[in-house]
Amino acid sequence: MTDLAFSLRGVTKHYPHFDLRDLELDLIRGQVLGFIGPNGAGKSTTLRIMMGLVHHDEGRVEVLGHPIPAEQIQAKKRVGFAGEDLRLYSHATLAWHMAFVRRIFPSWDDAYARELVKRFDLRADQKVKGLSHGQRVKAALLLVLARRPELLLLDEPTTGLDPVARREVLGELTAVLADEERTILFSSHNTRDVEQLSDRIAFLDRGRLIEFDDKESFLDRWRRIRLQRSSGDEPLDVPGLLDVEGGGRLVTAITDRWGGSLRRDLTRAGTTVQTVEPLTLEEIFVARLATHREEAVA
Amino acid sequence: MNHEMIIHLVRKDWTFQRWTLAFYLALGALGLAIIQLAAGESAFFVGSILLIAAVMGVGIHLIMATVVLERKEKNLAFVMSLPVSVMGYTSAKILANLSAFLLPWLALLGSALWLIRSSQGMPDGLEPFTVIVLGELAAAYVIMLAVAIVSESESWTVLAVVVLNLGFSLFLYWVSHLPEIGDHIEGPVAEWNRTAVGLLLAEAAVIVLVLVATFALQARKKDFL
Repeated sequence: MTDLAFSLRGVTKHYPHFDLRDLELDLIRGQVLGFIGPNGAGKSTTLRIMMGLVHHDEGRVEVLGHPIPAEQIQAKKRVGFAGEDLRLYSHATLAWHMAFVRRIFPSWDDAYARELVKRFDLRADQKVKGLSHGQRVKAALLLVLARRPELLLLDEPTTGLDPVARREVLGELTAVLADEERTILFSSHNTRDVEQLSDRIAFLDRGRLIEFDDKESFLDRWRRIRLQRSSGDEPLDVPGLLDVEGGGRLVTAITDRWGGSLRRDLTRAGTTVQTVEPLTLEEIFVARLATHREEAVA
Repeated sequence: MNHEMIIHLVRKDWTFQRWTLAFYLALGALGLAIIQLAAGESAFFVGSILLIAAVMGVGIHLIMATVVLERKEKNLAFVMSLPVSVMGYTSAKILANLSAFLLPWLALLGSALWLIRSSQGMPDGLEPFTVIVLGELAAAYVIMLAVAIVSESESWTVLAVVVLNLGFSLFLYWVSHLPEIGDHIEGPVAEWNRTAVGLLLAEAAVIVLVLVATFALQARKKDFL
């Protein structure tokens, strides 16, 4: 049995106005991958490809050892999928949905389901049409979690939630992570949620994977540096500096290669490092996206 | 294909549509009762209209509720997150809809034939015409269902419903004016001649071909959601 929960190799999907290109992505079992991208980046398309709902044009996709889309049924028995585009039947109750899913999945944990009903402050006898948006998201998540899936694919699960509901959902996902065998792919454009949960981070923009690394490594190598230059006449040209601001002797720059070699290069270039600040994941995301788009234009 | 999952999906559609089915069955039964209990041409006319409305209504209602609305209200993403493929989903939709439609359709066909044969006032010659007309309704229903499943579009489905309902009126006129059918409607004996049998076979062929085409087109789809 492979240690990878899923792998995408050279996955390409062409649409008239959008291309997902050469996607290389995988995740070891037991890890959480935060899949970040702006709207229209291709996150939902990627998840749909993994569920066999959209067929890729090129490349290879395996989920829990099953090639997709050929063995999507076998894979889906062990995968839980919830997305912002997923709606339960409005005229049916949550209890009906629970009974329906329980009949399909032998792994359904009834005691855990009842516990989640309480923890999420839901009522099983209430019709879905009477639930708020936050309650609907939690109900859909309950139906997925109570199946005890090996792999959770969550497409923007916290989008549109109020702060309380968001905290409950994130709290439950954190609890799920106590099980080391459970793997999660969590797509979002909310970097704070991703930062809280993830072991690994992937940035997707305009159908291209532009970063894929461990969260700690991400946070360690990205820094904002304030520099003082001996002379402000020449443009500062040091490899590894991105988004350089300030034209005079005081310069602020962002780097994705913070470390001893960059310090040495900066000293050689006649600058003195005044301060070094860590960046939030959101700042890293925005900076990386800007760089990628500049590279694409160039 | 996951047969167990297909049964779950069929059962789900049946559960959700049980009251719809009951309503149209009652409407059809009312039509038959009027034909049987109230004598006269106008009673026959009113009863027949109710009977046809029941069969047409149940078909359209089922397609809109189980195929079009399921996609429109984004329940499809929930269904497709379960262990089912596109072909499994297609099979479930066709099975659920056909079985739900055939239940009132067969009940109405059987009752109509029983009425024709048992009623003194109704000529047995009406039998082929009745079967052919109900056969057209079944074929039209299968075409509407196929359009809804394959096109994934509310607009195309509504267009198909309108065109096929208009087509039904034209079909009624055309069949009743065929000498091999129309000349025997008021006759004392059911005349199952070559034209009558040919029409029934053509309707059956349309149903089979449309179902085969539906599976073939669904199998070619690369994007389902």
